[in-house]
Amino acid sequence: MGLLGSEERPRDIILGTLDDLINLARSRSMWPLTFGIACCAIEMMATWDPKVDADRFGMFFRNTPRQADVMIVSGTVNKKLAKRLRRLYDQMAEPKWVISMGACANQGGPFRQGYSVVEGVDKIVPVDVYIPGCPPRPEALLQALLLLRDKIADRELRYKRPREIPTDYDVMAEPGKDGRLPVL
Amino acid sequence: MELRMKQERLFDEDVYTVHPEDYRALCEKLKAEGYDFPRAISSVDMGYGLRVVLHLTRMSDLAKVEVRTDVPYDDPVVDSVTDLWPGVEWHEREAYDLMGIRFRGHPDLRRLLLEEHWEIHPLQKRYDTGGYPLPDWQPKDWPDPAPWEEPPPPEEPEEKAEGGEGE
Amino acid sequence: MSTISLEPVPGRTDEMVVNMGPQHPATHGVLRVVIGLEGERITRAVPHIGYLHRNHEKIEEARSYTQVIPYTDRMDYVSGTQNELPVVLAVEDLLGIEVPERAKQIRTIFFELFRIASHLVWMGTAMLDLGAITPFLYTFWDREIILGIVEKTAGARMLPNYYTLGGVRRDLHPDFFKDVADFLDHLERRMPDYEHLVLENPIVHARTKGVGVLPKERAIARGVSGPVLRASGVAYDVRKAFPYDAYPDVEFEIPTSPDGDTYARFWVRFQEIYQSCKIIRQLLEKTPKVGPYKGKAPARLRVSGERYRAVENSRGELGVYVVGDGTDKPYRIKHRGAAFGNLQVIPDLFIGAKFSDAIAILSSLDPVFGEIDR
Repeated sequence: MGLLGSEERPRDIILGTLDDLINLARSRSMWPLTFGIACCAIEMMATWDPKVDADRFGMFFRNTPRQADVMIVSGTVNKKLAKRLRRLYDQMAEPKWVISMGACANQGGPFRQGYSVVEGVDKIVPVDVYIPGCPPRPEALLQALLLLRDKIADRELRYKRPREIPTDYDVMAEPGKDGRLPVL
Repeated sequence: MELRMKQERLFDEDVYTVHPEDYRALCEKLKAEGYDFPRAISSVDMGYGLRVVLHLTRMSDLAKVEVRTDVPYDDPVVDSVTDLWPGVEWHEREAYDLMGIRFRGHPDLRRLLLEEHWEIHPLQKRYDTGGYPLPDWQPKDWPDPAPWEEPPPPEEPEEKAEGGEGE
Repeated sequence: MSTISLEPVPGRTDEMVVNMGPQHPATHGVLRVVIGLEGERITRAVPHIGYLHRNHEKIEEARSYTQVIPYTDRMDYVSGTQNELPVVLAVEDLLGIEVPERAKQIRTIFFELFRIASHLVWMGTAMLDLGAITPFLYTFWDREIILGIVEKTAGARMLPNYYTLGGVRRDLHPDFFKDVADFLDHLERRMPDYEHLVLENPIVHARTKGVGVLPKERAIARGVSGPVLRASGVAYDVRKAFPYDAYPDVEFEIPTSPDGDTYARFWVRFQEIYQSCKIIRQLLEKTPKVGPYKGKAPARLRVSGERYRAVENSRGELGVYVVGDGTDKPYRIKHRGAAFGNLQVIPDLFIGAKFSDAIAILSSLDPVFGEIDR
């Protein structure tokens, strides 16, 4: 994108492709879905409180997936919830992004050895930004949101349509049958 | 009616260990004595069977009581006490879900925390913890005497003066 | 997978089944309630939980007791160190560990600070459920002050892993007493604003008075504890019934209300914030600034025996049943979540109420799913 203008007002005109301008608009109004699962949800709520206010970046929560474009998965995902999570992701309209917040959503966290815990939400939905921490500080979530904002606006990292969604994780499999909880 | 049970005092609680068939009778007796607040039902895999532990409190004088009963692995059935204390409904469902103990007479015994189509009861010791491996698990024999019976009194030593084999 | 059948029930027409699903702005976590509605009135309510079942009890069988403590933090994640105390107390009983007086006082101060923090979160989110957005911003600002105090001493904001066998892990930060005293002054200046926004709010009155009445005997028989039980008129508080830590040495009252409706549950939690401030002020004077913060605990833990131990969480009676087998890892550890008992009254309270009353009732029960699903 380039800036043009006259001598008195040098930055009057913005030149760019239509894609760039649309992505600029999208990145400045990311609307997350209220999907707080566990402890990270409290830190997610703390990111929207007056100390670290994410509202000033144009992000406010939408309760229905039809109107949201970012899904912040904050908390441990287990097999019972994984089906619902995937359904919510499918209900969101494109373009959509996923932020995996906290150790549990990244790779299962401290509960990775559990018999009903999914080792990371990227087995269910494609993830754009991973935030380490247990729980990550509100400033860390804010950094992730700003990283995602830059990723959306950056012409190098184009949003591919359709997204590759992982398909080989069987959420209906009971442990013992897929080898994860062996019988002694 | 004689209940097959054993009573002891641990810390500040009365602990009753009772035969599973007399569990319901003991609970009714305790409810009649005024124990009205059900705190929890825990379940333990003892190695020789499954144990149900019911924790109760009496609101009037804050006396605490624990009722324990052991059931074998192949027939883990115990009477439900949901009609005496409605607050154990979800505790019994959880004990069924995670440990496999069935409660006879429960109004709605289905899985609570795990999905409905699962068949295993993961908290039993025969399943690995998934993390640091436990030592090799072998089922244990049922202890003798049974947990709800008094141990037999120690034998009197034979009188040596009688001589020989006795008469 | 719903367990309400869709066959027509004779005598009932017009029943609509609505799923208040795990993703919902007002369920305080992942609760699913399948509700049968006739018009606006609820006729059937079946709660489904387990969407946050993280296998605490199985995982903790392979961890030593000091490693179990950070796992317990994640149960009632709004209340921080309150969850650590039952396990710590149970193992201290089984091993006979002596805790120095100052350590008990420090533990109690943190316990009450987290009670205030938890009630502030409750207040913000309960008002969000009823439609008011302002209290959320104010209460979370005050909670940030508490988390800053905790972070200076314990190292982490929300899940501090601060208690340990015999006391606490680190000594207090030098600014601790001044910070806590300043915070209490600030909170006492704010409480009239909160009362005005919440307790004297005519919309709150209209939506909560007379709604969701839980009678006293039903509450006791259902195993309900905490502010929900005290709002139904029963003065049962584990801090007075089976005291622990520094509670025998402080004076405080147990607020109860005879009404049993949603407004009473709101009111009781407010009074508990005042009582917590009173407890912390007494302890700030009694606690010596220097002294032992940890008693002697054996380096090799050999714990055998069984013990059930409970504390008074912000939500009720949080209990743990520890079965030790002579090693340093628990043979069986069972957690009794406070909100697990409270949530069983959902069918009792929802049926007969209107749908929007159900939201108010659920916010007054204050569930936190970490301790319900474990």
